[in-house]
Amino acid sequence: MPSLLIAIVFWAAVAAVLLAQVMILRSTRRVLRAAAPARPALEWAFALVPALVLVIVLVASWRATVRPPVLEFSVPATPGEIRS
Amino acid sequence: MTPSPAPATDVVPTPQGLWRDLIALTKPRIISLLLVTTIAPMFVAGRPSFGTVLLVALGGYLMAGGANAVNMYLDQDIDDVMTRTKLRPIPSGRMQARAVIAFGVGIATAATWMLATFVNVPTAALALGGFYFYVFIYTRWLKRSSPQNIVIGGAAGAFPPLVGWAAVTGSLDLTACFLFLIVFYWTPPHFWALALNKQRDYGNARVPMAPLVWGERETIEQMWWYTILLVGLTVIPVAFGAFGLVYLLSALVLGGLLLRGVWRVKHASDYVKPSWWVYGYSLLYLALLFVAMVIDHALPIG
Repeated sequence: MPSLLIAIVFWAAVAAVLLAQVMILRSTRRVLRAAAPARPALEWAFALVPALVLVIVLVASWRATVRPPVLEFSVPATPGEIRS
Repeated sequence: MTPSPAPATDVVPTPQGLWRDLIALTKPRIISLLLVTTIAPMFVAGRPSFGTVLLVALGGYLMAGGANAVNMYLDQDIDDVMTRTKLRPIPSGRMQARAVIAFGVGIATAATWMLATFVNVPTAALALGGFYFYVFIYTRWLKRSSPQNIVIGGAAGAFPPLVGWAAVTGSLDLTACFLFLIVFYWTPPHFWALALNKQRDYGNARVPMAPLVWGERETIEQMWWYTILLVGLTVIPVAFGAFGLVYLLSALVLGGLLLRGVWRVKHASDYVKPSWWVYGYSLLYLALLFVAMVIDHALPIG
């Protein structure tokens, strides 16, 4: 695939994922304020831990996307270099 | 939850009836989707032999079936008051609770031994991890204590892709992490679509599902954003070369249909019909997405 298409797909997807995650956290804040759960810290942890994991995986995928290509080539050996 | 002896029954058990109940304890319809998300990643990770695929499928079935049977033992009190579960073997009195827990632990133990002996130890460890997560973290702890029960509990259903991947490679990598996250973020919109329509059942059983605690509007709002997050996640592996054009187009089309379905739930005057559609389609969506991964690897275009 063309690298421009790959870049567009990647950054559009990352933008959608991050926007959605922020909106989920905002919604969680609203419901926690309204419902006043017995253990608000735990409820916050349930919302924040997946968000943290998501950010780590996004950073790892960005690093994998921009990783320089590995060049592999072979040079035919001369008869003198071949050892039995 | 207090395990109680099964109510007396006049039904005389037959061997066929017992077999039917044992199979019902494993929840075969749910496991069929789990097997798709276990086996498809094996063909993405490499070229597994027929024997390995068969062993992982059997081990996966037994492990997930064991977890489901233990779940029915732990949830026997709420299964008894919910319409959709009151005909299960324990609440209907067809099986003793102790027999159900013995069956569940027995087949999960057999699965662990089989996967560790004939596949590899990481595969057995991951499958057992999924079992423990489902039984202790989801069923025993979160299900009755938090409206985010299926958000975190979704991790239990996300173990199968890791199991399949580890069976072929003996390890995990970034692509495997994405397969885990895809199932994890698929879970909330799928189960909340069901919960919207089963609020009375969950209310009677005092299970704090999101629509009951947060309200329908906020639950549907989160379904929408979880679906956007899911569709975004499904295409990212294309960027680092895990999948090609066939998968990208499949993920966009399948994801577009799911987004349209949740949009209808969000904007319909009556959410019942569109949310049942989302519940049914999301099952098909996940299966087809994983099939598309396999086809993409078989036909590497782009």
